[in-house]
Amino acid sequence: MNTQDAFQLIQAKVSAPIQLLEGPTPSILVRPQGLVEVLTFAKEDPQLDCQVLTCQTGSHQEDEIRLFYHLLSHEQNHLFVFECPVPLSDPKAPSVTSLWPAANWLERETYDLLGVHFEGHPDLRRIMLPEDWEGFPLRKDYVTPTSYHDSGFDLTVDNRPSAITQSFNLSKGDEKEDE
Amino acid sequence: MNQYFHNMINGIQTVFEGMSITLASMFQGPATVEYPDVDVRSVDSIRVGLKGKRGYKGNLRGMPENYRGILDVDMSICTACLICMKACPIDCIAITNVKCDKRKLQGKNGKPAAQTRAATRFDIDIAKCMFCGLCVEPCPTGAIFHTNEFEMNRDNLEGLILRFVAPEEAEKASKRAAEIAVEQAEKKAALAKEKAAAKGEDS
Amino acid sequence: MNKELTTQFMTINMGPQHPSTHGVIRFIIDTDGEIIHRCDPDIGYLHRSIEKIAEKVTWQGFVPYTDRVDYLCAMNANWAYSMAVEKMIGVEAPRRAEFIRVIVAELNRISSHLIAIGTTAMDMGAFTPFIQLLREREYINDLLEMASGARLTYNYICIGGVMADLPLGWSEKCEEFIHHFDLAMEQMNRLVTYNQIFINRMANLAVVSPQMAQAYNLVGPNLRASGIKRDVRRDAPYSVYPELDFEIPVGKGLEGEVGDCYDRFFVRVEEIRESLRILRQCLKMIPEGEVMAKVKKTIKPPAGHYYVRHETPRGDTGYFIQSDGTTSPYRLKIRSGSFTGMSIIGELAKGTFIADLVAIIGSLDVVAPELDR
Repeated sequence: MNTQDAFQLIQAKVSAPIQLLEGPTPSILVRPQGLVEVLTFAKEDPQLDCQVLTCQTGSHQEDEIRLFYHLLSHEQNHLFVFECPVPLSDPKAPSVTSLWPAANWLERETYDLLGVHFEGHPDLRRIMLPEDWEGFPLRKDYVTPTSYHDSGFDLTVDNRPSAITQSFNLSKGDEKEDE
Repeated sequence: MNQYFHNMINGIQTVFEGMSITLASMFQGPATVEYPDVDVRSVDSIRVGLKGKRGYKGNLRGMPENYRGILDVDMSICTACLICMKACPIDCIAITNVKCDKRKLQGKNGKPAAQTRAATRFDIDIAKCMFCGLCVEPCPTGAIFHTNEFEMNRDNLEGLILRFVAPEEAEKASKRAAEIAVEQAEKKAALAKEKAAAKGEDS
Repeated sequence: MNKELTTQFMTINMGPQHPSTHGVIRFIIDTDGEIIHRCDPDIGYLHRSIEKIAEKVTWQGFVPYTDRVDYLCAMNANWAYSMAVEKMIGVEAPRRAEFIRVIVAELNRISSHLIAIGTTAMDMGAFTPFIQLLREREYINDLLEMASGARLTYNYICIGGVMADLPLGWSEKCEEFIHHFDLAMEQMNRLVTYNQIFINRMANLAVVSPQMAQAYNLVGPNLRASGIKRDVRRDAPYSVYPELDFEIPVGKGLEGEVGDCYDRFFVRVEEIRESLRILRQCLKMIPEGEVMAKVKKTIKPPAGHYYVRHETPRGDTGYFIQSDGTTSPYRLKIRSGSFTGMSIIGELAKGTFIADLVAIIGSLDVVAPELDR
């Protein structure tokens, strides 16, 4: 089954508004309000039968964060992509952990790196970065920090050997004499 | 009860089978050579090192010809085109160049190339280099290449930066570049003068 | 004297520096005596922000970084990424290059599984198999070094083909190795796979039902051990895999229930055999010809998002790549098998012994750098 057929099937059965997006990889656009309803249908419908949430991620685009859900069916051997735009001013989306336990960590990663709050998530903490990290690194407006809190450790220090040599005050004159 | 003894016998049997393999490997000779004593670059010395080994000895090729060791640059055919610098994903190559006299040369691959620029600085930071070979691939003349050298221990940190252009040469090149700039400016001025003169004749 | 005995949980910390966590992973464990009540994996110690780096480097420049995502199977990681970019720019690698890719990737799969088997045995307390298998792996490393010029981070498979053709006499060396390795594998099976103590230790431990495997999105050998016959090489075939004849081993519950630790272990042993079969066929079928397609120096794929699946030793690895038509990726996400494999441990470890946790981690074949990226 291709994405067009799946789109028509979902449109006929589910009340939430969806939209078919063309492109190199066709996908189905869902609003956050209808996300759980559509994904539940995709999981439980015998024709779609998407038992596996194989990938969940997001990407920052101008004034929104676009979430991507890649659903895979082992029985039918097909893969569908669902997109869900979340406004950057209020990045909130419903969690799908109740449908697939695999979403637990995948959503935690998206929260950690892109700052999307998944409502209804049982354990929404940072997963890769330290608990007290500020900002969300994979956003395009992220500014690389120059120090880690008040640790006094300057992250901008150039750690190339040339710079280290200068900071250690190693004299270059002596070496030449040795040679 | 029968099952119990069966399991016990099975357990002892399989353990002894495993132990027999372990013991057998005691008589197979060493599978490794002792690195600093044996020259791992040459096949012959490895072969001598593995003399006592029985059975399969690996493919015994020593170090392959295409081994990606520390980078080296043949400055006589380098055209200072900056392609390797741009290809490097971690910016461990730093090149600056100036204009020089035009010169035709033959690359390592036999392709002719023309040099219009000379490097005044060609540094490779081998502490940062990850030996991926992305700089070697696009080089038009084959000037930058991997050597078989893999020992990177130096007595100081400064030694981890390879400098391929000596300061005197860099000075010479920049002096020549200044001269070329003057020459070109003169040529341009002369051309402009000629043109102006021609125009004057026309009118 | 009618006081009730009260017990309380003890929270202990396993890792980040622990020999059997296979890298830098920390487990926070609540124990009731020797029994695990709650196990919370704490990951991120090896987070190198590879996905952020991808947004700063060129399309070709990211290939060496994929080596570092999973250093045990760098060839497969190279291939997965190169395949994704090839799909985006519509380039097809020459036929000889595809065969070379299959050969080196299968060799790499064998070497990765050898580590998985060896470390599992080592975690169980058997040190000899690990050393024996590392010796065999060294021969594979030698072969791959001959082809690519590096021992671990190959950067051999690139966008449009492979970096260089196989050197002269490589195929003969490879056949020699396969001949030797068949016997070595038999010896390894006698040493550890059929050892009764090892079987008793692994059988019926941490059973993953097919439903659970799907819900937690297990991939690769871990999924197949639960009895689900799914392999990307068959489901969404790429390269020359459709022309090759190989079986997909699944867990059969040889010594206990389907989907226990022993099944996960045994599926890997079987996969090595299948890989050898693929290698034999490929060495016979490999044609002569070019190894590199024509690719522009500056790659600018059309805008849009792509998702490419690839079967690495750790299973279905997905590369989600979003392009905005410029010279570097806009967003790149690597969905690795270790990440979802790790997320199930909290569930599996409940009610097992602390010593069994080590067996579970070993049987799931989690590689820390791939987990954190």
